[in-house]
Order: sequence, then C-alpha cells, then structure tokens
Amino acid sequence: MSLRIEIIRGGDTRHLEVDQTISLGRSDQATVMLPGIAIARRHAEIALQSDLALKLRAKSPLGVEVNGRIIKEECDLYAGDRFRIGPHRGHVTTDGESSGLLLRIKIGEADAPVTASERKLDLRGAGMRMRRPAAIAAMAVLLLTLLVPLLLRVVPVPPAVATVLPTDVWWSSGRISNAHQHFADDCGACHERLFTRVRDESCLTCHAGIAHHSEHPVTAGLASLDEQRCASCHREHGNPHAALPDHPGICVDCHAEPGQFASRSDMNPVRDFAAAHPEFRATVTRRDDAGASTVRTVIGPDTRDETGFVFPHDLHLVEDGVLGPDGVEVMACRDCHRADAGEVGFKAVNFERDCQSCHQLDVSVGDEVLRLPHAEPEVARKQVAAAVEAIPAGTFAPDIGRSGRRRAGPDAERGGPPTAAELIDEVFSTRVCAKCHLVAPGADDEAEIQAVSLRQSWFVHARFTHADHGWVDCGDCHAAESSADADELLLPGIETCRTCHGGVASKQGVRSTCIDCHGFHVATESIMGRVTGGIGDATPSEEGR
Amino acid sequence: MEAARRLLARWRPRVERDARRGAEHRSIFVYEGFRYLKVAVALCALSIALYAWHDPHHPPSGNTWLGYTLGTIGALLIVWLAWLGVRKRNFRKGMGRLQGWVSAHVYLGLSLLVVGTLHTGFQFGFNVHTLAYALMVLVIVSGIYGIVAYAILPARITSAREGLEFREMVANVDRLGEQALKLADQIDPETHAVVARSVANAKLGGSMREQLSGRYMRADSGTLEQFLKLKGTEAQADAQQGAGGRQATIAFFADQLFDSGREPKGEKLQKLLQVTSERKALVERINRDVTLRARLNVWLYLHVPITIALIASLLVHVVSVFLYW
Repeated sequence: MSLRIEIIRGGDTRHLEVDQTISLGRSDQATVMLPGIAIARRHAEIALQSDLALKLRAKSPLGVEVNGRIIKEECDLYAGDRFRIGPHRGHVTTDGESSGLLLRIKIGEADAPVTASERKLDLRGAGMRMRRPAAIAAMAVLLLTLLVPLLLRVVPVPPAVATVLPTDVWWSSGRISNAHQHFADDCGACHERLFTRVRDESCLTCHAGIAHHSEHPVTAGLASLDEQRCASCHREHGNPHAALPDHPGICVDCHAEPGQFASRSDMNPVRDFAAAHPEFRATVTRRDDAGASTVRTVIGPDTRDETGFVFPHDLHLVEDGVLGPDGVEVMACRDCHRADAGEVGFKAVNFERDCQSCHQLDVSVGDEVLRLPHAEPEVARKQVAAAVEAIPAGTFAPDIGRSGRRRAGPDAERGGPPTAAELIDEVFSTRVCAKCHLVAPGADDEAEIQAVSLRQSWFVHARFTHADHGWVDCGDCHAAESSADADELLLPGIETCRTCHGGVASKQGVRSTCIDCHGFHVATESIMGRVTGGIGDATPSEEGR
Repeated sequence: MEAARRLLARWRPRVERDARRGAEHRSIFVYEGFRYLKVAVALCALSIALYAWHDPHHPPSGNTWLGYTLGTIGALLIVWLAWLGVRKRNFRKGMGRLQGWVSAHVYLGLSLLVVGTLHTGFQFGFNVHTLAYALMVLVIVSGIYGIVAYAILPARITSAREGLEFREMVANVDRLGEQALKLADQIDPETHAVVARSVANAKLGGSMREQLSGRYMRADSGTLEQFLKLKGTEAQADAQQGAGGRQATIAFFADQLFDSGREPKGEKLQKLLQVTSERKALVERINRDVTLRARLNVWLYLHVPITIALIASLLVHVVSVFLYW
C-alpha cells in the first residue's frame, strides 16, 4: 500500500510514491518542502490510513485549512478534500492508473506577501461606490416620481393598490385650499389635459352660476378681461385660502388706469385704499317737483338723502333723556336701530315697535280721544270722518242760557263743531302725520303723505358689515347726536374709515384689500350689482366724481 | 555623501509638489482675483434684491415670472456645475484651467443655495418639487464639507506621512512582518506560529465605519505582545536560574553549546518584540492615514450620486410642473 503524490511547482510536475508518513514544511528535511517564511518548518504530516483515507496531523499551532476550516489537531482526508497551507494547496483525489488515492500538492509562490491580510486602504476598497448608487437613485427617482404616477393616471388600478403606489399627488406644488380639499387627491378633476393649463370649464363644472365682472364686457372694454382665466386670480396650491385672491394688484392692474378702457374712462382710478382711493359715493334719493329719483353722489358734509321722513336725531339723543310714558328715558341708537339677523345692517325701523310707545297717533274728537292706527292714509281718513259723524248733536252748543256767562274748564266753549274735512286736514298737515311725514298737497288738494325711503344700504358697489365693527361707538362714524334733520346723510366718508383701515402694505392700520369691501363677480342682478327696493329709477344717475 | 545627495534629489520634488498643492488649493478660492466669488455674490445679491422688490399677486412661489427666472437660472447652474464635475475629472485632456473650473464650481454651487431657495418662495411640502430642493441642499452641504475637508486634511496627511509615500509604508509593513517571522523562526516553532498567525491575520485599514471613525478592530487583539512578553519573562527566569543550581547550570551550558555563535534567546526575543511593535506602530500610522483620506474623500460618495439623483429629480420637477401646468 503506497501513496502517490503529485507535486506541481510552476510548470514542473514531480511524482513521488511513498508508503510511510510524509512531512510538509519549510524545513529542507521535509518530504514536501513548502517555501515561505510564514510556513512552519514542520507544518503538517500526512499518513496513509487505508485505501480510502489519509490522516492529516497539524504539527504547527498555525494549523491547516481543510475544506475552509482550520484544523489544529488532526483529521481524515478523503478523495475530494482540499487543504491549504499558506499559498500552497493540496487536493486528495483518486489515481486513474492504480485506482488508489492521489495527493496533488500545488506549490504556491514563495515570495507571495507574507501578510495575506485584509487590506481596505480606502473607501473604495471598503466597498463604497459612486456609479451604482447614482444609477439606482436616479432610476428610483424617475420611476417613483414620474413614470409610475404617469402610468397610474392612464391605467386605472384598485384603490387599495393606488394607496401604496406613488401617484400624481406627489406632483402637487402645495397645499390645496380648504374649499377644494374634498377632491384634493383627484388631480385630474382640474388638470384634465396634460401640458394644458387648468381650463375654466373645469372650474365651471361646479361653479356654474358664477357671474361675470360686468354685465357688458364688450362695452365696458373688458375684452381683455375675458382672456383671463379663473386661475389668473384664483391660484390653487398655496395656503388654506389660496383660492381667494387678496392682492390689490389683481384689481389695480386695470383700475389704476381705467382710462385704458375707452368706455370706462370715466371711472375713478384706484391704487390703494389708504393712498389712492376715491371718496365713497352713496346712492341717495332726490326729490323735486317731478318726484323722487335715485342719485349716486360723492359723500360730503352736506350730502342729503331725501327720505321723506321727519326725524330730529338730536332731540331723541339728548344726554339727559326724553320724557317717555314711564318718565325720563335716555335713548340709545339701538333702541330703534336693531341689528338684523346677520348683524350686517339693521332691521327696518318700525312705528309700532320703535315709535309708538311715546308717539301715539291720538286725535281729540269731541270729548273722545281717537287713537289712529299707523296704516294707509285712507284708513285714517275714514276713521276720523266716522268719529266726527259720531259726535252727538249739540255737543258743541254753548250753554249760555243756563249760566249767563262763559265758563272755564270742561264747560268752556270749544267753538263750533268741526267738519270731518277740516279735522282730517288738521291731522294730516299739522298735528299727527306731519310730525314725522313729509306732507304735500295732493291731486284733489288733499294733504298727501309722501313715500318714505329709508335705505338699507347706500353703497351699491361695496359691502359693509356692522358685525365686525361692534366695538366701535355709533357716534364715532355717525354724527347722529347733532343731526336735526333726518335727510342729513349720516354716513362716514373714507377718511373716517382710514383712521383704522390702511392699504395692503400698511403698517399703520388694518390691512384692507379690495375684496374686503368689493365683489368681483357682480354682473348679475344682485344685492351688490343693482339697487334693489329703491324708489324712482332703479339705475341711479351719477353725480360728481 | 552620494547617498545624501540622492536622498535630497528624491526629497525636493516632493516638498515642491506639496507646496504647489497647497498653493493650488488656496488659489481655487482666490482664482483670478476672486472672479467667481464676485459673480456668485452678484448673482445672490441680484436674486435677493429682486425677490424683495417683487410683489406677486399671489403668494410667492416658483409660479411667478421671478420664480420661473430663478428656477431657470438654478436649473442651468445645476446642470452646468454637474458638467464641470465631469470636466474636472478630464482636466488632463486640457480643457481649460482646472483651477478656474473648481473655483466656479465652489462659488456658484454655494450661490445656488440662495437662488434655489428663493425660487421655492419658501413653499415646501411632501412632493417632487421639495424632493429636488432637498437633494440640491444635500449636494451643496456635502460640497461644503468637501471644501472644509480639502482646506484642512491634505496638510495633516502630508505632515503625518513624514515624507513617506503611502505605498512605501504598506511595503514596510510587509517587510517588518517578514523580518519578524525570520526572527521568530530562529526562536522556536511556537513563537514562529504565533507570529505567523499574527502577521497573517493583521489588518490594514478596515470597513467604511472603521475608516471614518478611526477606531479599527484589531485582528489579533494584542495576543502577540502578550505572548512575547510571557516568553521574555520565561527567558529571563531561565537566565536567573542559571546563576545557581546544578540542573540550571547544565541547561545553561547546553544552551550555550546549542546556541554557540548565535545571539542568546533573550536578545532575539527583544529584537522580535522591537520589530513587532515597530510594525504595530506603522499599522496604526497607516490606519490614521487611511482615516484621514477617508474623511477627505467620503463626501464625494454622497456628492456625486446625489448629484445624479438631483438631475433626475430636477427633470421630474420641471416635467411635472408642465404636465399639470
């Protein structure tokens, strides 16, 4: 029984046939000499154990690496096993000729570096790379943020899948405004076509009834305005109220120089509420021989709104109070001007509620007191006439025969009995109605009460709410305490507003934008667009600038 | 004398080259009288002034004429600066002056932080647009690290090398390993085995984390030193015992006989200990060098891949804006 050994050294192959234990090592005494300073002089021994097995004994504490494991003592080697000592490799196989075991030893290079150690001397050596991470990151970005969302736009997928995949929501440039949050995830609702800006049609799907800026875009020179898109003013993807444009520039671009629109050259230029805004214009009633008409006029100290009503504010608002049914009463504005439901303006003044407790419509007819209703004049006339007729005959006859002289007190002579016509004229023209109403001779020379026009709002193109101004004294804006005439327009001018309100860039007061007072979509007939409930011509004539 | 002259001849170009390198590094900042610093400052100042003056009708965003202008400038700068990066690598091909390109890259890259931020109008969100911005910021921040690293570290590396080339240091480790093995071989097989294992397992450099932190795991964790010290004490004890006792005397004479004409064992051990500790110190120096170079270059492994991702993201940003115009 012998072992065939094949030693390969470079291109040189040598064969040995041994029948005893062989030694491997650096020593020149070794059966197989393994060069290299890192190899022990006697590194290992290999003995033939049987026909099928060899015994390897490690003679150096360095051990031998057998099939990848370090063997420090000894182990059996079978055909197919491999071992390694430093750069030298051994392989146990079967000999084709003798069908015994063949030990093939390949001598490695002796001057291989003794430190076969791990060397990661720079980041590249430690496995860091640039190209691959770059390619992966770029592909991931393109795929996840562009291609997949684009694909999902075309290919419908179940919602459950869509929630985990990147969608075109990632393209959103900013927060969707509160009003549109309920379809914020459906980009296609507005962005219907790729590479096309959001079309007005998309907006009008919901906002169908929205009015234009003017009834007459062409005559108003608004052809260029028509080229604007909804999104020109209403810019989404901003903040919670992004859809509400508040920059004055949006209006001022045109309204700073209305002259550029031929048909609107008569408009006043506006740049900023504080710096360049015309004085307010109020829509008021004018009365002349032809009757009442509506005029829009610049507010000034002498502006009058001819209401057809007689009411001295000053007499009612005296500091010491007025004499009421229950004694002295100090009156306040709110006693008559009661806020309406939205506290924007006030409920109409109502005679029965606001006046009657002091001002009864009482008429003495004979010994009776007739209390007239605050109703149509015809009713009052009939009631007065009926009361006169009901006076018993002789009520007004002087009782001279009995006493022979004139009496004072209840028995005093009261003159002759009045006729109904005389009393009615007295009631209407001097005593009862005329206290508050403007009375003029009518068609049959009868005293006729003129229609009263107490407006709810004098500003046609602006809105004002008292709700936000509740903390301001009424007198700060309305000089009612010194007003003796109901026709005095007690509206404040722009300077009064400017004591608190500044322009958009103001650092002095409340920053106020155009749309704080003005609407844009005002073309249709609406409370803002036209005078409603007025008298005379519904479209006011303009007066002054 | 001849040797000294040769040494000087080898030494001089290195010193000159180091000086030149330092000057080169300074000159990327002062290139042509701060030409690109001036350009960058002018660009930033103009952008800030326009932004302050601009009063868009809608909240500031990229969707105003100024937004589109700044965005276009920013995008062109990004592409151009990235291209400069490619160009810089090919500077040997003689495309313009390298210093000029680096100077432009540094200053205009920094100005991009201002231009890009103003382009956003300070509108940020969880979307592709902010992704592009974030990537841009990452690239710039890593670049700033690069500027600082290149200002500080090369000088430290040069001084730590004490005139040695890195390759020489590594070769010295191998040479010392071999020397240690030869010495150990002369002592006894056990010592040889321990030294051989230590040399075979020795580690130069390390993983990314080790390189950057500068704390390297030692493969042999000091067993070699312990072993050699133990050996040293044994040898000493033997020598002391040699002073008295018959047996020791016999052993001593045997040793003398066996070792005749050679150095005594203790001295060899001493020498081996010296070689191995020299080797260990050298390994530590190499590791320090590796750490400094890793810290000098690590930003590039972020800067370059993120730049590529940024260009992809920039493309998505621009395309998506116009897809949903």
